[in-house]
Amino acid sequence: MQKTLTRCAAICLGLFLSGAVAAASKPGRQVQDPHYGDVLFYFYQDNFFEAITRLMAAREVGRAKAHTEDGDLLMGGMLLSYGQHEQAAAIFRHLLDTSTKPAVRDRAWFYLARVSYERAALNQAEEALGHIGTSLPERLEAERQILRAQVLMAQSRYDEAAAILKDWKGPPDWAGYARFNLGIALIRAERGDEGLKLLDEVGNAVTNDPEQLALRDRANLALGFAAIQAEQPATAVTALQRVRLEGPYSNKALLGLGWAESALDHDRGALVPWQELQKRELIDPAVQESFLAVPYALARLHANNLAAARYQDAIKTFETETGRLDASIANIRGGKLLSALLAEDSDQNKDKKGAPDQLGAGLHLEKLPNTTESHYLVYLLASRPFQEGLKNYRDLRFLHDNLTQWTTDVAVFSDMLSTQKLAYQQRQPKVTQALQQIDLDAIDHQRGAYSERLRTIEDKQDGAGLANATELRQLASLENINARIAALGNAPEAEGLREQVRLLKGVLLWNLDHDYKLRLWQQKRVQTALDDAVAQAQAQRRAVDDAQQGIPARLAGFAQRVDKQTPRIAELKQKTDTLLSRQQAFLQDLAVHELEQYKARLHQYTVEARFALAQIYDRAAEQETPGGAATAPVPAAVEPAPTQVPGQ
Amino acid sequence: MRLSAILPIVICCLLSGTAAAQSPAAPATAAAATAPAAADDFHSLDQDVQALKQQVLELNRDLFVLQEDLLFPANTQVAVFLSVDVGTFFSLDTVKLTIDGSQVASYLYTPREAEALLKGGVQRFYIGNLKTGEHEVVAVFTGKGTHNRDYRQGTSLKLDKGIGAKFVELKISDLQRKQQPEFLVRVWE
Repeated sequence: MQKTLTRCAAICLGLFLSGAVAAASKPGRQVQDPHYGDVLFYFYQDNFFEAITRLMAAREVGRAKAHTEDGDLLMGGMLLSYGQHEQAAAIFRHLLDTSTKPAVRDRAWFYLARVSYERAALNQAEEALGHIGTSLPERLEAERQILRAQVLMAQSRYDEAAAILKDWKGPPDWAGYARFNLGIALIRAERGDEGLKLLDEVGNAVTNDPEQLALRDRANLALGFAAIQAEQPATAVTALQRVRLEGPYSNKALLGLGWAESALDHDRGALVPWQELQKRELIDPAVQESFLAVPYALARLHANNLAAARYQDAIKTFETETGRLDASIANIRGGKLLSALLAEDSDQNKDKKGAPDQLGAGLHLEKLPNTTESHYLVYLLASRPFQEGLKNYRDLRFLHDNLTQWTTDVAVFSDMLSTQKLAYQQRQPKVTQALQQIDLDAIDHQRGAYSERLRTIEDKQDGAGLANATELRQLASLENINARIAALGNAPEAEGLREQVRLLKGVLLWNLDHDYKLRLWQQKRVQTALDDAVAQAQAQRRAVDDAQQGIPARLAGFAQRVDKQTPRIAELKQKTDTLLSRQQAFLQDLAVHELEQYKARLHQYTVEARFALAQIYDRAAEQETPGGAATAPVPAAVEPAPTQVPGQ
Repeated sequence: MRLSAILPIVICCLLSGTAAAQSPAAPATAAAATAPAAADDFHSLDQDVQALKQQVLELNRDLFVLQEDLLFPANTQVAVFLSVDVGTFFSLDTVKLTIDGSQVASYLYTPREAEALLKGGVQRFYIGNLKTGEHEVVAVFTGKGTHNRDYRQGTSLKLDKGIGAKFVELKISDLQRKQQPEFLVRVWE
């Protein structure tokens, strides 16, 4: 369901890792909106949670509109990688309904095919693949072929799948995995010869790449066991000897090699790999099995005393192992396994990516934690249900942390709003008082009066109306002097004074008249500036009034939005905790179930060892009985034949 | 032991288990045989987890928008983005951003972040509030230039902040003609 494992685990690992990346813009491509680029910034760091959140938020506020289709493809790809199949499929269907661009449509069909395949809707997957034209980018085209081969294999149409893989043009490592899986599928479909041929090709690959070496070992291991099953022990020996002596498959290969040699009646040869196995960590099932295999071979070599001693050793060993299993089950029930696995994943995540745990990222569990139970559970841990469950568990812990962080942040928002409200309440009276002291209406009235007066002056072309303060004082002085002259009556000196005043007044009025146009222009400029200033003051006043009236509403609106989130977060947190418990129980049950099976198997081993021991004793008793069947002498020890072990 | 490398052994084990079972003392191998009820449990749990994830994503979207509205109202909001185009002549280490003489942000890039920028990501590395009017924005970039030499360069912008959010993009580009990086500023409307 999510990106780590699928039916054909190895192939799909490659597909998933590249899936969402392929949906995004090519490197260096110009973004048309920085907010979309911001989404890509997180996307390219594999931080899908942040990228999805930012893309959703950008769209919520009407941003990133220039990247509608790109954004849809990106969102669909990320949701798919993130395990949200339904939503991803809805996005791709929407794109097919709305877009006419072949590049977009081909991608949408490709992802829909993948969603269908993931949900085992093979016919739908095939149909979607059939719609894809020629507009997929190179990497996606390579993935398309692999996906098609997977669908065909799942439909048991092996010939068609083989034909696709034969002409495969893509990363060579993918081809190796694909051939391996096809080989396995053919063998399961009882087309052993074809399957073995494919596995033989993979098993003979020349490579130095660690991943490919591991795949080669795996192919040889599968080939070896398939050959044993097909009663071709010689072929099995050849294949199993190609497995490296030190590697993840070496123990199973050694075990198989012993059985192949045994099938060839090379019991001394069988002892070589089995005795090598006995030197290894007992925790491995193959090693445990060797404790039965060695005495089995010894018994076949008639070394009955030695075989009996080894069977007794095996019984003790299995009993000890059973005790360890009980302790491991108790540890798992106590939650230690999950903690250890997540700690290991987290450490490896940091080493590899330099990023913290994040939702939607793949597990980076490349080595097991150093606990007894994790080594018992190596195959379970690699299984899809466990991997997916563990990933869900880790995602739930991420969600828990995310919600916890928001709980704190929303409380801070709430405090911030309270502080803003208090500050407003404290400032508001002072602001109101300050505003009351400014009578803008009176100022505007004065501005109007001034404007009216200027208009009158202009209508009358009244130069004196534009006199400055000095000139007005001078005019007033002249009028005053005139009055005093009038008081002199017809005195002889009065006439001269009148003439002098008239002359002075004439000069003053002439000057005013002369400067009239300039002064009128200047006054009009003053008037314009005054109009602007008053208008600006009125606008600011309105803004202040609006703000004063709007702030409480704005704060109340925010408070309402914040208050709504608190119970929402609490509810989600509760759901998360419940799911965490369920998920933990699910994983622990899986692990315990697995260990119980181990215990049952060890019990079975013990029974078989006891039975074999009893048979040896019976045979010994028969030999001692007079008239008993003559048997070959029992050697005290058996030296293994110099048989080649894997990888040497 | 590399776990990822042994994942497909689940398939392999199906074969090996069958083969080994033919031998008298070789019971089935450790192929993961999960409890029958596990598949149903897994499906049901997975559905519930997916539903929860969607709800948490929607919550994060709403809270992301709320946080931005609350802390950076549209009237005063200024966001500064950083992008890198090609990047042949300059490898980015740090950026310092100054507005009206005050340093408001500085950022040290990890290789992972620098790679995300090179792939086409655009980082919103500063968001804040500014009053309407003219402001001076100065960014100083440090990193490695051609021949791995230390490189430091600044770029500035007179930003006229009106009513409404303002988005500024600082872009590091390659100037092929001079074989040098160039630092461009773009104001998004």
